Amino acid sequence: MMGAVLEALLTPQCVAVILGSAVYGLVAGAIPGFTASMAAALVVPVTYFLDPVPALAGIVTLSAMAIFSGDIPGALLRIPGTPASAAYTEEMFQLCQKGQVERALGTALLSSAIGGVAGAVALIFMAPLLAKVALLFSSFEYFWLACLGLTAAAYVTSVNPIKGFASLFIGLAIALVGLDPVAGFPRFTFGSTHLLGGLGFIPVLIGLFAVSQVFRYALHRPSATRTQVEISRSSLLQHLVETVRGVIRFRWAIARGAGIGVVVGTVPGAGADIASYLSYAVSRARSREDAHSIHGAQEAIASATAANNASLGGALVPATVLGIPGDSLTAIIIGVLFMKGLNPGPLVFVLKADLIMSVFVAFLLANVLLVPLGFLAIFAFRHLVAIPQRILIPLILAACIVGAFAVENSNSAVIVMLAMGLIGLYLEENDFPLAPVILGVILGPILEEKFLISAIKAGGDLTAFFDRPVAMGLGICVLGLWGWLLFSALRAAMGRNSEA
Amino acid sequence: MRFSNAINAFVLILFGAFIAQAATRMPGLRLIDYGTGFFPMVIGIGLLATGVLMLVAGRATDRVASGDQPKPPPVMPRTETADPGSFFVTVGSVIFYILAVETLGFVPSMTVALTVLIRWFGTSLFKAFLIAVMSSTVLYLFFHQLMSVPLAWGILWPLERYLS
Repeated sequence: MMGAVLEALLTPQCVAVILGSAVYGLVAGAIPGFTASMAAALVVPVTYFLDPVPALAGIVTLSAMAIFSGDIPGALLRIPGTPASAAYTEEMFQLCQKGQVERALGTALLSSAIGGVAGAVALIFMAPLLAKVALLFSSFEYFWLACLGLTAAAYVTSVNPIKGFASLFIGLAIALVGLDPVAGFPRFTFGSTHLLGGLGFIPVLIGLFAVSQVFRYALHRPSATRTQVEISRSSLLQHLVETVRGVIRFRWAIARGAGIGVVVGTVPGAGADIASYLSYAVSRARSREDAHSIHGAQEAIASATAANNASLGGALVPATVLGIPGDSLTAIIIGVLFMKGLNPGPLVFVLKADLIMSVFVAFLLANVLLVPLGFLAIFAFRHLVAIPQRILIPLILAACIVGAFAVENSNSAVIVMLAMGLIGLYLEENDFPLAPVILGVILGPILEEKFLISAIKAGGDLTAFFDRPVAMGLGICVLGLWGWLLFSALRAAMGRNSEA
Repeated sequence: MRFSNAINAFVLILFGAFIAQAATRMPGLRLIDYGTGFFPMVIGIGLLATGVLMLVAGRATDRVASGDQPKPPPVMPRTETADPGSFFVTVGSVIFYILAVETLGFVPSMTVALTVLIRWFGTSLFKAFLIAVMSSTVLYLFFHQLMSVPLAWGILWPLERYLS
């Protein structure tokens, strides 16, 4: 198999796409306000025109790169490039203020690469094993798994679970538009033939993640003044030895961070942000170093950045094996998998094992490639982070418009993108998380199809959903979780009323 | 754009009621009770329920208040004061593009939209125009020439045979 994997990856097109995606990911992540999800959403229309392996290798490469380079503006400008970088931005900036910019970014880079490699190795070994188990699943198990994934995603991604669930239902409602997946009856099309095929995934994605951020910038334009730290003229390589020493010193913190990243990544909805915060918190609690010292800050950065990059590998396990995305980034990757005919699920590990393994190996290579390219990026991008947003934001909007149009060759896609941008703005302004919306859009049709197929198989008898042992276990978990969530919400409401 | 939880709850309730009501008019399947309208009905009820819970619970379920989980800072640097003018100009530029692209073509309509937007955000008119022309042309060349996306020529149609 390894020969076929390398053959698929070492084509000129694939190598060019991986290198191009790496540079794009590093550039995009380094620009404040340009999240990894946004960068991936904008590049999806381009993957439409590529072969499956280069398309997916490109997406996973840019994701790994963008997650790391989100640390660069955090260190230099005190503005986290991605939400996951926000956990340790303060430490990075403080280290830079003390003249330790190379140490801060070097530690982040090496720890990110180690975490990423750990995530990729876990993915390469765990996904085929899980796929063997998942081959035994029927539509009943898939229905419960989709329910479990959506429930976890809605609960974990928001500081207010009710808003998380509201976002999820909004995503499921968006997925209702078009012909229903079993009977083919048109729903919420309002007589428009453009809507019969449903709302295009890419315009929805670009609207929710990229256009909404453009609108947010327009609504809350920041002042142009910024505090920027300069990287010293001396080469980063001169600081490489002390950075490597620091990484060796904090090897257990990095290993712990990578472990937390992989495990948290597999929880639907958790993703890099929560992995990073959790690892940071654990590192702070267990550290013997003074929190305000250089070593204390370095340890926290090492642990959190390792978790940050490792979580993507973890999130790709349920995404590829079960079709349940771990976070918004893996939701985008699932969308590309569907687009390229590699429908996520255990069968893809049997029917197209070489292709899916090529994507995993590309992810591993991307994390190895991160070290040399990342060092170049730290040095080269110190001016990039200062690009004025008043110019950048309109250009992002232009790229969004062309990207949305490119997939459907129709202006209706641009209209959908605009509408989704406004919905995304409304949701984000009012603290509704966006990740459950996109998970709902992707999983909604699957959930409905699995439910109706299972119901038809069982002749409408809902007890059949609990007949098979695994389905029964999953069903009890889901119903128990729903009951607990409802109980918690009602108890909180009653507590508030009694206080009033 | 920031509204109170009560207004957000009301929007959810209205949206949920609309979906649930539409679901009642959808046909069923022949063999089972769960037809085309079943899933929309569940979603409609879900939206209604979250709206009602939000109304009842208010901010009580906000875990930030209890200090359970830190709220991440916004990625996009921003001010707390709103600038509706910039927002409407941004939305307006997209609407202008949608309405004008078939007639004017991709490059002219994108150039106009970008010039207005970059100028509005505080760059000089000349610089804004220059950036707009260059970026529209680069986007056009990449997507039309390289990716074969049929972006409209519009008023530049006479140049098509020279530039394609």
